Amino acid sequence: MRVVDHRAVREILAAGGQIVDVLPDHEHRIAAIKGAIHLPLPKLLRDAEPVLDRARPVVVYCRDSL
Amino acid sequence: MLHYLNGKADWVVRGLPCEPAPPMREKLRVLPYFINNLTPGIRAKWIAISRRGTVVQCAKDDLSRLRSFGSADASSARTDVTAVILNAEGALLGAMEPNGMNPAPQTIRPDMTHRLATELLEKHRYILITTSFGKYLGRYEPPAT
Repeated sequence: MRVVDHRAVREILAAGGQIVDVLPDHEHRIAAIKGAIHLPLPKLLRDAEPVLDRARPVVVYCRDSL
Repeated sequence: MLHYLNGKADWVVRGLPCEPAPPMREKLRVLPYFINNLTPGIRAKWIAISRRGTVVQCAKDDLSRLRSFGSADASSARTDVTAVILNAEGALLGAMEPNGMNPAPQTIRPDMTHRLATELLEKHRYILITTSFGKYLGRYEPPAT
């Protein structure tokens, strides 16, 4: 697993990367990283294939690391 | 795939672009998580010094462990969860429930307080303890009162 920090996330997004929010609906609605694709964890494996572009980097995030 | 482990708490507190913009109450809510992300060592020491009960002491290893794409006996005396599915590194991929696999069971970290774990247990039939990297430690069973 490769872990990235906020600086790397910004660089990846600026270079055309994708960011995936795996939080539940209510958490996503309050606030999400700008441009995030919402794929709640229970649906991630099922829905990722048609939504994400394999050719571009994908960053996934939840609420925190603890 | 890359993992932004510090996640939304880190992003919001740093004031980075969000959609929609987080309300003040959200900024306040994520602040403790941001601090804990920055100082996991200090947090762990404080937990040890304060002798706060940690849920990892209540991790019960009573569920069958299945490998992904493999098979094993998933029999269990429990009716809510019968087995956990782990990858080769022991990371949790899902939990076997009577109706099939739940790919996102509720998990908690080992140093969560019993109070918070008990609150979560009121909303979920069971909760599993994993490290922040997803390694499965056991099923949380509240201490007998």
